[in-house]
Amino acid sequence: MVEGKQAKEQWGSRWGLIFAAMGAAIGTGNIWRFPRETAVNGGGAFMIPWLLFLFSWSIPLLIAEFTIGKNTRFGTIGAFKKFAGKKYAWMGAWMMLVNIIIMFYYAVVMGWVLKYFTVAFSGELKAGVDTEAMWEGFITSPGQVVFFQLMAIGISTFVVYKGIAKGIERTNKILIPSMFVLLIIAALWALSLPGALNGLKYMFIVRPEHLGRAETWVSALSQSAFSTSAGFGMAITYAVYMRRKEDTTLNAVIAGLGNNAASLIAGIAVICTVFALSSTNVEAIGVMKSGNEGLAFIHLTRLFTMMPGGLVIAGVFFLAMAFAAITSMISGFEITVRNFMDHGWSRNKSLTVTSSCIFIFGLPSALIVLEGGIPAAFKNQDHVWSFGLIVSGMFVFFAVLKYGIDHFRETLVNTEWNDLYIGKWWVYIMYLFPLQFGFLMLWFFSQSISLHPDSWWNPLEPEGFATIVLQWGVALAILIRLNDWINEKPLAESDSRDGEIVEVEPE
Amino acid sequence: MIRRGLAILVILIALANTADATAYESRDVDNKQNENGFDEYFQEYFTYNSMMEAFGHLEANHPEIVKVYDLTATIDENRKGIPSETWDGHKVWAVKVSDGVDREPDYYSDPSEPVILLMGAHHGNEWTSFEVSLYYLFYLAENYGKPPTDNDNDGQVNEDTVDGVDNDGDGEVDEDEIEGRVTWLVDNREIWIVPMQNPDGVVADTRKNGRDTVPGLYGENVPTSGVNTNRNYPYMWGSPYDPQTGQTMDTPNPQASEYRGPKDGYDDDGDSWIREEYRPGIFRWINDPNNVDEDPVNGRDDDNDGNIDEDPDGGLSEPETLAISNLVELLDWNNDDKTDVITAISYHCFGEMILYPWGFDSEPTPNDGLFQYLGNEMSESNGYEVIQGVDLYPTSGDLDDWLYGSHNIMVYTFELGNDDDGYKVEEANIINISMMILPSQLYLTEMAPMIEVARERYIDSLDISLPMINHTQKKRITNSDFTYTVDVEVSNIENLEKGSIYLYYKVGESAEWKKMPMKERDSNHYRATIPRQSGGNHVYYYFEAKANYIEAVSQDGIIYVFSPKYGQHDPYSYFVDISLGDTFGAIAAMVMMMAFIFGIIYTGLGKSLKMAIDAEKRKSRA
Ligand SMILES: [Zn+2]
Repeated sequence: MVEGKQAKEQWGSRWGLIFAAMGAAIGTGNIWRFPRETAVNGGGAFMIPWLLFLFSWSIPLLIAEFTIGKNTRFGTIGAFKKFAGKKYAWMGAWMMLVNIIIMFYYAVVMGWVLKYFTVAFSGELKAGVDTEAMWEGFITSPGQVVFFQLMAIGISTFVVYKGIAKGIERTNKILIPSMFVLLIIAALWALSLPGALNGLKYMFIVRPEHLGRAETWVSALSQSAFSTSAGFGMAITYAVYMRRKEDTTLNAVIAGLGNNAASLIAGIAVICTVFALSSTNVEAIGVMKSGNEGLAFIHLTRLFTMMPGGLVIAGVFFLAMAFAAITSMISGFEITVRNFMDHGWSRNKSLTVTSSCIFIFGLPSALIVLEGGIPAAFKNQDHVWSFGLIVSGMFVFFAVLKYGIDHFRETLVNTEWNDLYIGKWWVYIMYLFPLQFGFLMLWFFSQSISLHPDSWWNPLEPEGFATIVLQWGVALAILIRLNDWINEKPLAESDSRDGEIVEVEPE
Repeated sequence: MIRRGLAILVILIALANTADATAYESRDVDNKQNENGFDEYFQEYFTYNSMMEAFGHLEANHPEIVKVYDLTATIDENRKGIPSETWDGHKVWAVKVSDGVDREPDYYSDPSEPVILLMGAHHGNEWTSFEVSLYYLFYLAENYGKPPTDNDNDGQVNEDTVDGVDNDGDGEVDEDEIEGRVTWLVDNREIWIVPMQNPDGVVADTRKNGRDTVPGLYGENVPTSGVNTNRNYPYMWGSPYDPQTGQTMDTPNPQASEYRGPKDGYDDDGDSWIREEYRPGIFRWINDPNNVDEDPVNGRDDDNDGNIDEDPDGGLSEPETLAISNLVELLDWNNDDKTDVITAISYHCFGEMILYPWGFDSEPTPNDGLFQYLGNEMSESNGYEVIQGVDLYPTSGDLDDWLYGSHNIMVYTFELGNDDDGYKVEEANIINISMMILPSQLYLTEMAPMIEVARERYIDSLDISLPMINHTQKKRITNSDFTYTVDVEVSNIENLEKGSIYLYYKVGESAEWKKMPMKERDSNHYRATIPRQSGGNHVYYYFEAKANYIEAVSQDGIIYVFSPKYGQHDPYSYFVDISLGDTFGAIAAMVMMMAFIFGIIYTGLGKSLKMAIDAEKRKSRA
C-alpha cells in the first residue's frame, strides 16, 4: 500500500506554520468558553491562573510536541512508536482517538455556528424573537442540523484535500487575520455601547475570593489546555511538515500567546455585549453562567437584536466563530489523516475515511436531542473526551520523561535553528506536569461524582463518572490490545520529508 | 284652645295613619330593590321584649363582634338613690359592635379604634327612632365577614355601595353594598348602639319616662307623669329660655311634657360650702350644711374652688340619663377623664331635620363650621334640613348640649320622618326609612377619626392634610452587597409623629415582612437602608407612619396607616442589581488588571513576532 511517489509536503513559510498553529489553537472555545469561564470564575481572579497555566502547561507541551513531531516526522502513532518505543504506540493512537472523537461533535458545533451565521442574515432574527424557541426549534430539526454538519465537514475536507501548503496554510493565512479583524470589530462595537464598562469591570476586576477556590484553578488549567490545542497532537502533526531549519520554540510561544490574545478580544466582545445589552447586571451574570450553547445561540443572539446594527455584528460574530471553528477542524482532520498517511494510505483515501467517520460518528451528537433541546450525546462526548486531552498531554510528558527531560531539552529542543533558547526552567515546569495532571483529574472525577450524586455510577448519565470510566476503559483496553497490530503495520518511508529520525536509546 | 289644638293633632295623626306608603314614593328609598337577610325582623315594630330576644340572637350568632350591656347596672343605687333599673323595672340596654368584644374587658375601648354612639327613643313614643338604630345594628352584625355578594342578583357584585348615590347608574340606589367595607368598619371602629334609651316610655308609648311625678296621671298619652329624659342632662340644665318669647322647651313642671326632672340637691363635691352675697356685690363663703349644687354644669368654675362643674344643680336624676352618662365616662381607655366617644347621633321623630348644638343658646359652638359640614354631608343621602338645635326650639338639658358641652362629642339629633310619618312611620316603611338613614350612619362611623382631628383643630371640613409619604423609586439599583437605601419625603410633616415612620421590607416574594424605623435626615426627609440580604434581588417594601395630632391633642394614640381605606397598600417592588463598583478604585483596579493582562500577552506576542521576523530576515540573508 505504500505509495511510491509522495509529493513533498511542507509549509510554504514560517508564517504559514504559525497561522496554522494559531488557527488550530483558536477555536470556538476561545469565543464562547473563555468569556464564560472568566466571568464565572472571578474575572481578573481567573486570568491570573489562566495566564500562569499558559506558561506552565500549554506552551511547554507545545514545545515538546513540536520537537517530537519535527524529530520523528510522523503523526502521533508513528511519533510515539519511534520516540517512546513500540510498546507505547497505543499512546499515539489514544491521541488520535481523542482527537477524532472530539471532531465528531466539533463538526456538529461548527454546523450550529454556520447555521447561526446564516440566521443573522436570513431575516429570521429580529427584535422580540424568542431565541430560545428558535434554538430549540433548530436543534430538534435533524434535517437542518445534519445539513450544516455536512457543510462543516465538507468545507474541512475540501481544505485538507488541498494539502498542507495550498489547503491548510493558505486557508489559515486568510482566515486567521480575518478572524482577528472580525473579533476586533465585534469588540469595538461592544465597547461603544453604553454600559460596556460594566462588562470590562466584571471581566477584569479581580474578585479575590475566587483565588481561594479550587474550581477557579481547575477551570483556568483546563481552559488553557483545551484552548491552545496542547495535547491534541496538532503540534506533532504540523511539525511533520516543518522545514529542517525551522524553529520549534518561538513558534510554540507565538501560537500560545496568539491564542490567548484572541481570547481576550473575544472576551471583551462577548462580555461587554452581554453587560451592555442586558437590562441588569444580574441578568448579565445569569447569561454568562448559561452554558456555551445558551450563551452564544440563545442569549447573545437575543442581545444582538436589541441594538441597531446588532444583526450585522451577529453576522460578524458568527463568521469569526465559524473561521475559528474551520481552522481548528482542519487541524483535527489533518491529525487523523496524517496517521493514516504514515501507514501508507494516500491523502485522498485517508481523508475519505476520516471524513466519513467524523460524519457517521458525529450523527449521535447531531441527532440525540433530549426534551428541552439538550443534545445529550454531544454533552456526553464533550464531557468524556475533552479531558482525554489532558491524558494525551500526560502521554507526551511520559515520552519526554522516558527520553530524559533535560536531555530532551539539551539535544532536541535547543537546536541551532531555534530562535528562542529554552532554559532549565522548562525542565522544572515539566516536572510539575504530574501535579497539574493529578490535580485536574482528581477534580474532574470528583465533580463527575458529586454533581450527580444519584446517578454518577450509571453509564447512561451523560455527565457522570461511570461513563468516563467505561468509555476510557474500553478505548484504552482496545488500544493496548491492538498495540502489536499497530506495530505490525509498517511506517511509510520518511525520506520524502525533510528531517531526521532520532533513534531512541533503550532504557 | 287646648282642646282645639288637640283635635287638630288627633286629625293629623289619623291622616298620617291613613296616608299609605306613597309618602316615600317620591324618594330614592322606594326604588331600593335589595333585601337584607334580616329584613324579616323589620316587618313590624320591635317591642322592648322582642328587642331583647333579638339581642340574644345577635350575640349568640356573632359573639366575636356583638356584646350586650345593661347600662343601668352601672348605677350605684346608694349614691343618690337612683335605682339601677328604670322606674318601671326595665333596663337601658346597649350593644357594642366591634371586633374582639368577646376578648376585651367590659367597657374597654381600643385606643386605635374611634368610638361612635347611637341612641334611639329618648322619647318613648317616637318608635321610628329605635327601629332605625336597630336596623344599623343588624346591618353591621349580619354583613360582617361576608364575602362579596351580589345582593341584588343582577350579576354584578358590590356595584352600588350604601352611600345614598346611584353609583352604577342603574336607577336604583345603594342596592349592593361592599361587604368588605362593613367588615372593615367593625374591625376598626367601636360602635355603641342604645336603641331604647327610655324603655319605660316605649313600653307605655309615652314621651317621658316612668318616674311617678304626678301620682294618678301616669300612663296616658298626654303630658302627664314622668321626666323628659332629653331634658335631664346636666349641661346648662334648667337655665335657658327663649329670650324672644320668654318660653323654654323645658320646664320644672312635673306634669309638663318637657319636665326636666327634679333639682339635684346633692352635695356632689362634699364641700358643704356655699357662697353668700352678704352685701350687694360682695360675696363670702360660709360653711353651710346645705351647700349643695353650687357649681352647675356649664364649663365654668362657678364656686371658684379650682374644679369645674363638680356640683351640678340638676340633671342625671333619672336612671336613663345616668346610664348614658356612665357609659360615656366609662369609655375612657387611659383614664384621662376624656371620653373616647368621638361622635354620636340621637334619633327622634319627626320633622326631617338634622340638629346640632347648641339647643340652649343661639350662639354658634366653636365647632359650628364642622357641625354644618358633617350635617350637610349626612343630609346628602336623605335631604334633611341641617339646623342648629336652638333654631327648632330652645331647650336646655338635652343630650346634644351635654355631650358636646361637657364631653366635646360631635353629636347630632335626627328628627326622623315627615309630618305624615309622625312618631311612628308606617310599618311597611320601616325598612325604607332605615335604608335611607343608613348612609349617614355609615358615613359618621367611617369618618370618626377624621372628625376627631377636625374637631380638635377647629377645621370646618374633613379636608385634613394627613402627612403623606412621597417616594420615587430609583431607576436602576446597583449594589455589590445588596444593601439598598430608601429615601422618602414627607409632606405635611407637621402632622407626622416624630420617629413614627417605619419601612417594611422583604427580599424575595415569599419572605416574611420585616420592619425598621426610618431616620430623619432633615426637616422632611427620612431614610432607611435595607440591610444586606440573601434571598434574591427582588425587594418589596412599603411605609407606615403615625399622624401626631391625635397623640398631641388627646393622647389617644390613634394609629393612622397610610393605606387605602379597605386594604393594604401595594408594596413597592424593586430589583436590586449587583453593583460592579462605581468608585474610582474599582475603575483603577480594572484598568490595572487590563494593563497587566494585555501587557503580558500582547507585549509577549509582539516581542515574539519581532524575534521571528528578525530571525526570518537573518535566515534569508544567510
Ligand atoms: Zn324626641
